[in-house]
This record gives sequence, C-alpha cells and structure tokens, in this order.
Amino acid sequence: MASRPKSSRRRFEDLRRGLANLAREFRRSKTGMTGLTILIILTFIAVFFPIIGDPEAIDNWTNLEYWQDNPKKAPPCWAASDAFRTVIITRNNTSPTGAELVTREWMTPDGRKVSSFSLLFTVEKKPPTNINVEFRVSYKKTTRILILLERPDGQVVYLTKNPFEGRGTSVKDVFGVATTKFNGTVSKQISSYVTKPKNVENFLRPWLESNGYKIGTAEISVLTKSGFDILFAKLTPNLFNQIEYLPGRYNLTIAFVSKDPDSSFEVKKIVLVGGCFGLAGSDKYGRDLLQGLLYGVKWALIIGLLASLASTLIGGVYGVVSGYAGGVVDEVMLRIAQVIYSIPVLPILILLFAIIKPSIWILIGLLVVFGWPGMAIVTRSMALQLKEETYVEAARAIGAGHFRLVFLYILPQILPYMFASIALSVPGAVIAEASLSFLGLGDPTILTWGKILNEAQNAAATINGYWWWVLLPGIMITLVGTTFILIGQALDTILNPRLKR
Amino acid sequence: MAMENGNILEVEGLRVWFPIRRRLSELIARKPPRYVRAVDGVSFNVKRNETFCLVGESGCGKTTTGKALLRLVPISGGSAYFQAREEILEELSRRGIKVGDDGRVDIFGIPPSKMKPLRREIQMIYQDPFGSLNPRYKIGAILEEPLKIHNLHLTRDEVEDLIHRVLEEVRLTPPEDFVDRHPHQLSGGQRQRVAIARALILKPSLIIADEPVSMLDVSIRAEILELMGMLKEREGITYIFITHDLAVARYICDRIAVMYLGRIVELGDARRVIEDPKHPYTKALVAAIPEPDPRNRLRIRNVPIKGEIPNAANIPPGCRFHPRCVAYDENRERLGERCRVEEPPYFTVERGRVVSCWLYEHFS
Repeated sequence: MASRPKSSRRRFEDLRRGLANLAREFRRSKTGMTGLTILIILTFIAVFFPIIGDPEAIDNWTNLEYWQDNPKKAPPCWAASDAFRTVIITRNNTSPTGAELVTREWMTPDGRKVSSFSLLFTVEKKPPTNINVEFRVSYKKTTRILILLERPDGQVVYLTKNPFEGRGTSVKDVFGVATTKFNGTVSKQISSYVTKPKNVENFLRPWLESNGYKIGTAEISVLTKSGFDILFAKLTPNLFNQIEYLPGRYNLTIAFVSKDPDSSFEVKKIVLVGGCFGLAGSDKYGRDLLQGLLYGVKWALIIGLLASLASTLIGGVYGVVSGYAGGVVDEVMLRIAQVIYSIPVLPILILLFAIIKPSIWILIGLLVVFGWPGMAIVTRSMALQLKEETYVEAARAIGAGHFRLVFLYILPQILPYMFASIALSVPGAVIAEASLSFLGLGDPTILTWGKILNEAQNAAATINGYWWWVLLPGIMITLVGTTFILIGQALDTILNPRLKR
Repeated sequence: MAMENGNILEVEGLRVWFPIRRRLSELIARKPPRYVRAVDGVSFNVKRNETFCLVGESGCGKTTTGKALLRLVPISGGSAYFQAREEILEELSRRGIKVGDDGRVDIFGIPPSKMKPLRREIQMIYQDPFGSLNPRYKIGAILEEPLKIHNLHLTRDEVEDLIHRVLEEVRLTPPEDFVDRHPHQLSGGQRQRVAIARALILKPSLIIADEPVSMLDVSIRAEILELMGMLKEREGITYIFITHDLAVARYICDRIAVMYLGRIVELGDARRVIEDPKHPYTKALVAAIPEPDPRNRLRIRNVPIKGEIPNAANIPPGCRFHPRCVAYDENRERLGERCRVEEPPYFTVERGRVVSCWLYEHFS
C-alpha cells in the first residue's frame, strides 16, 4: 500500500507531460497566442479593476448626483481634440489650471455688501458645454445677484438685471431660494438658466438686438436650445444658422449684492463643463463609460466561462453516458437533449425574466440548462463511435465496469474536444447576456456591457451620433468573443489532429 | 464428466440473432421481428490445451461466436459449459451462480453483470493491434489494468514484477524499455505481443484469438504464431483460434471447424480437414489456398464455388450453402430437391469428423 503514491505520481507525470506538449504546440500557434494574450490582459483588467479602475464610480453608478459635474453625452477626448476640457474650481484648488477665480468684496456707499466672483477662462476652439456654480451663502436681508459675461471682443452680456439700477434680479430668480433670508448651499447650471424662455427674452434678446440682429420666433427657438453656445459665438450675420465660436479670454462675473452687511458668500465649486470626457466618453448622466467598460470585463468573463464550462461538462458527460448506454436509455436521453436543444433560448429567457426577477446567477444557470444539449449530442455520437473501438471492447472482455469504461476509456478521448468547445462556446453565453441586458431584462444590480447598450438605445444614441456609447461596449463584447474563438480554434487544431492539414 | 473426456468447453446450439430495427409501418402491420442470424446453432467442444480453429469467410459468424463466449454480444440461445478453476467457481457461487457438481458452469447462464470472475479464465486477443490498446495508456498501465479491474490485492512490487515477467514471456525485453511507452511508439508485432501479454497476465486457461496475425506483416506472423505455440506448451493454455486463412490454420490448429453463414459445416482434425476436405464449401476454401509453387502461378485454378455469400438476414432455406454449391449442381439427380428444403444434420464421416451435407447421408 505504501507504493500507491508511486502510481499516482506516474499518472501525474503523464498529465504534466501532456500539458507541456500542449503548451509547446499552443505557443507555436499564432492565433492561439493572440487570443491568450488578449485573455491575459482581460483577466488582468478584471482582477485588478479596484486598482486600475475606479470602484467608487461603479458603486455610485446609479447615484446620478455623483456624476452631475461631468459633461453629458460627451465623446472621448481623443476623438474630440477641439472640445473644451473640463475645469473644476473649488475654494482653494483649480484643476487643471487654465481658469482663474478672482474674488472681491466691498461695501457700496448705500450700505450694501457686494461679493463678486470673476471667473476668467480661455476658449481655444470650443467653449464649455455648461458652467455649474455652487456657492455657500448666508444672508438675513434682501440679496440680489448680478451675472455678466465679458467676451474677448469687448462685448458684455448681462444675464441678470443690474442690481445697481432699479430692482435688479433676486437670488430667488436664479437659485430658487428665499431672497430675504437664507443660509446654505445654492447651485445652478448656467446653461439651463440662460436658455429659460423668460431669460432669453429678458437678456439674450436685448443683447443680440443691440448688435443689430432681428429676433423673431425662429430665432427665439434657437436661443432656447443653444443660447448658451451663442454666448461664445462670433457675432456673424449667419449666427442663427451656424455658430462660429469666438476664441479668447472670457470673464464670467457673478456678484451678490446684499443689504445685509454681515452676509457671507463663498465659492464651493465651479465647474466649466467640457465637451469631451475621458477615454470612453460619457453617457447622458455624465457617467464615465470607461469605468463601465473596464468593470464589464469581470462579468463577461464570469458569465462566459461559468456558463460554457458547466454546460460543456454536463453536456459532455451526459452525451457520453447516453451514447455508451445505447438502446432505450440512449433513445430517451437523446430525445430529452434534442427537445431542450430545439427550444429557442432567447425568447424563453425573455419570457422568464419578464416573470421572475432577473439575476445574473439565474441567468448563468439557465444558459447552462439550455446550453448543454449541443455538447451532449456531439459527444453522444463520439461515444457511439468510441465504444465500438476494439480497445474498449477489449477492456470489456477483461471485465472493466461501466464507470471505468465511460470515465477512463471513452471520456478521455473526448476531453480535448470538450476543451476546445469550452473556449468556443464562451462568446455565445456573453452575447446571450448582452442581448438580454440590451432588452432591459438583465440583472438590474449588475453593470454589464449589455446594460450600457440598453441605456444607449434608450437615449437613441445611434440616431444622435453618440457613437462611443454604442461602439465601445460593442467592441468589448466582440473582443471577448474573438479572444475565445481564437483560443478555441487553436486548441481545436492542436487537439484534433485531423484538422491540422 | 467433462474432465473425463478432456473438454474445457462444450458449446451447444449457440445462437446469436441480432434483431433488425423494424420500421414504423412494419410495427403497425405487426410483422414478425426479423433477425440477422449471425450465429445460428453452433455446437462444438474444445479439448484442454488444444488449438481449436474456427475458419470461414468474413461474415460467417466466427468472430461473433468468439465474442459470444465472452458475453460481448447478446446471446439468443444455447449453452456453453466451461471447466473453470476452483477459485473462480468459488467466486461465482459466492455471487449466486449455480455451479455444477462436475465443476462446469454455463457461460450463457450467467447474467453479464456477474461474468467478471469468469473473465479471468477466458481472455481475448484481437485482430487489430493498433486498435485494441488504449492509445492514452502506457504499456505498463495497459498491463496493469486487468490486475486493477480484478483487484487481486497485489502490492506495487508484485504488480511490477508480474508486468515485467509477462513482458519477458512475450519477449518484449528488456521490459523496462517498454512499460513507459505508448502503444503508438511500438510496431504492429510489438503491439500484438503487448495484447498477448495483457491476455496472459491473469493466467487464463482459454484464450480466444480473433485473427491475431492477419493484420501483421507476413514476416512477423510466424513469430507471433510461434510465441502462441510456445505459451500453449508452457502455460497449458487452450486456444480458440479464429481465422479466415487456411494456410495459418494448417500451421497452428489441432482441430478445425469450418463455418458458413452462422453454422459449422465441417469439423474435424485439422490435418485431415485440409488434406481431405469433405464439405463442398471446405473444398472450395482449400482450393483457394494460395499456391506456394511459383511455377503454378499462371495456372488458372478452379475454385469450386459460385456466387456471393448471402445476407445473414436472409438465409436460404434448406442447406444454406446450396445456392453456391457446385456439388449440388453436379449431383442434382441423387440429391433431388432435398438441399433446397431440408437443412442437413451432421454426418460422422470418420472418427471425430462431422460434415453437414446431404452428400454424406450414407454415413449415418
């Protein structure tokens, strides 16, 4: 009995040498190595996502407030070289530099306290898509506000009434908080403020009319859509048909004029929202799609590998047992497999997930439930052939039992085929999950590429030209699929020598 | 009783009929099931330590007969009393198999699931040495397999010793050069030696050799046959040797049974059968033996047979050989319609020699 380990060691040695041979052949296969390289990179991304990615972004994926300062529906920056790059200014930090905040305070002769914030920034080709401002304010008496934009061409655009002439514009009109007394944080997106019909009428229209433009209904409708852009436009005759941006230094001044001498106003954050975002752009909530794409690798690999591994193993053993058993047992087992095989998986999954709560694990389970018969039907026919091999009959003549024949004589011959098949069936599972998520039937708690595509579809991304939102997740799905196809084909060629020629 | 007449195996009326899958229309019409009658009533005895040959064309049922004795094909009828070793009989009766007082056991009476102990006694060597060894196993593992399956409670050293000894016995020396090789690294002759070694390792008393040399190079055949002959002498092994090659049969067989379409048509001493064939079919086979004399190579030989072997699913009535029988045509007047209607019984034409042909009716 002490000699037992010796035989198992020899077995192990066999296996080791077999694998070494396989590895050597695999290394020679170009397709295989390409696939393996991509797979290693993908696995690296999946494993080290907490380091190379931003897990916080994924945790806050559905927390839309987290994303509010990001440009919405912005293409990736490498594809939009003329876009304005986002600048975030906080009380003591500007990043990246390139904008300047000048804060001044003074008392007017009539006892009003003026707190003025001037934001100086340079537009090279395109202006920011929005400016988000956030202030900490505290006042106990009537407070008015002045917003004006000084342009490089010397024009000054008033975006509020002048508080030094007449009643001015109250804080309420801009920030929606009480004019006479407030203590807290106020915030506004300048773009939405400017394009409000009332404000278009009161401020943009007089400015443009003073520059000699005729403003009719058509022009008003242009202004309510892209009034913010026009603030940064050259005042060409063709302004309303085609905006040409005016480069140079802009100065946006926001001044609070309060009757309360003890009032205090300070910048919490000002964001000059850019026209591009990151490496993979952003969606309509401003979410960083790059994080979504990187994070999705993990789930694609889990879904693909788990579903294909389980269905191949189950199907493989089922098929071998069926083929080996023969007769009525085989007939019944084969029919069961064929019935399941003939069920169209996607419609069934759609139906099921319309009824039950979608969960990624249930999905993987169902992909296995509907995925094994393909493998079973193939391995059954292989087993039918293999069980007639003389060496199987010879083992039977010696007295080998069913278990031994199935697992030591027939299955090992089929194993290589199953290996290749595992790799080759990964893309199917990945695509099935993506399809379901695309249709909105995916696991709502998990961010997958299919889900990103689903949101892109809901935002009509293809029609609106948000190509990054559709194309990049699509490329990722294709990449995972291709990777496994490459590996699978290489394995297939090595392990099924008949295909070699 | 069996020991008295020296028979190790007595096969009586063995039938192996494979049902033909009926079509749905046939099932509905309730047509009777049809069969391929691969083996259709075969009886013979095998004496201890002899080489008993089954010869015939391919498809005559000789291989099926051999497999039936190992229960590798379903048996439709018949009995096969086998004289087993004492320990095997004990093992069988422990499993609830009825064993006769005379130490004989009916192979066909044992359920296939309880055959295992008997498989130590009866081994098989296959025609194809390329297919009969598991390509994934090394020679050592292939030879160890029977010991593992039968769980003989041997220590590792005993197992290795046994493997080495059996490899030496089949002259694969030195053994350590072979145990770690895979079958595909060996030549056909070497593989067949491994197959013989695998058959020997359980020390069987009966080996069924199914055309063991027909796929080997002619130069190697004699070596293997000689090896088998030596093992017969040394180990006291009995062979059932299946071959289509009368030249080989003449070399190795003690007695011959000539099979045609699932039946034995002639059985007797090998030398006598080949030198003086009685049955028209045997005559044809003997006439077809290649002529060793090169001077005769251009002579057109007259092989007294016509037509093709019929389908075993559709066996001719009466004597199953009559449609191809030249003697039947020649002796039409004497035989009348008999051959077409009635199956001939066995007529003993000389001591230990039976022929199933109406031509020899007068011997009965």
